[in-house]
Amino acid sequence: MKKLLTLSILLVAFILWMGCEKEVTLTAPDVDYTVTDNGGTLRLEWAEVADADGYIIYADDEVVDTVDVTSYDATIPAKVYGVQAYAGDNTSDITEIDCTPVVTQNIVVYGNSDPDPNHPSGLKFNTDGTASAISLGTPPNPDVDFYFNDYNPYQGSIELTSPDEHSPVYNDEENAGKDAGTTNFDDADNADAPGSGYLTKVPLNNGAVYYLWIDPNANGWDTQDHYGKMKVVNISGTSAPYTVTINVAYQKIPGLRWCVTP
Amino acid sequence: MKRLATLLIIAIALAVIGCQPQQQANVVTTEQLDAAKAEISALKTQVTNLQTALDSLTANYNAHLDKYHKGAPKPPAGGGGGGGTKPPTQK
Repeated sequence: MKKLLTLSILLVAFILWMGCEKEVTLTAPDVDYTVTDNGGTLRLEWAEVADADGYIIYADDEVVDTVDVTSYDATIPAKVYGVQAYAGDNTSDITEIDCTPVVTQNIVVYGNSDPDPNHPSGLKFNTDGTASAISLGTPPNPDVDFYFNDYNPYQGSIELTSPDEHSPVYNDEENAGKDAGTTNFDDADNADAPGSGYLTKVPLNNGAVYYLWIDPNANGWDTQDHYGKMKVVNISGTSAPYTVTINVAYQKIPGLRWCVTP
Repeated sequence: MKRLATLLIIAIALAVIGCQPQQQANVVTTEQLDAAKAEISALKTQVTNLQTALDSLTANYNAHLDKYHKGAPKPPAGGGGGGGTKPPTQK
């Protein structure tokens, strides 16, 4: 009887102890990021969250890892990365880093042999990441990121061309493109690394997808560059001047080569 | 004595004549003038021939442009010309 009483007391004490466990409130990690590995890695870093046992890493709402340190090197391209602190069964809100590229569809540009002043031959990326067709005008023109050359292309019928390839130059940016090897816009989700054959004059083919590299300082990869991709939806015309319809995606995070769509 | 004086005068006269600057160099003879006229005429003919040759070359050049470069229209107003034919930069 005495034994039973002792056990009962212990059981009640245990239940009370469990029931009285303090609820932990975790703050969401304050996540910052840097781009490394020539644009292939997004390094997430955050300050330690009080009472946290560790952190859950999400990529596009899927758990990809759990860590007990305060940084994570994300190498799998995704539109959104998230970090969540946890302690036992308690979790914080998720802090997200948005890597979604800005997509602009159905931009119509014209080969630069087209004399019509209302037919723009230049492509400009705006500060919000959208792209616009712009008139080239008389050089210099600091707004030109690419232009479409069917006046005297080096190869093919019409080329996506860097503004510093014009004579005289439109501006000193040394921008380049590279055939992504696919015709599916969404399949091209990670622009190739620098040094892999980007060209400042890229002959365009109907239906092809190209990676874009905006290098404003013309000094190779750095975190002032931007990457993106371009789908040639259609090239119309049997001879110059040609009309080109494109879809474009632009990664707003400087230096990052990811371009996951849709 | 008289003969000696005469000889002296003749010698002085010859010396004076010998010391005169030669004016013959500035004199253009009729033959020289005719030769110069002929040379100028020949040069004029050559210039005319060169002009004819230049006109012919210009005509041939324009014909070549029409025949082989008709597909490459002139750059649009505002400097929208091409990028030249140098190879692209690889990066």
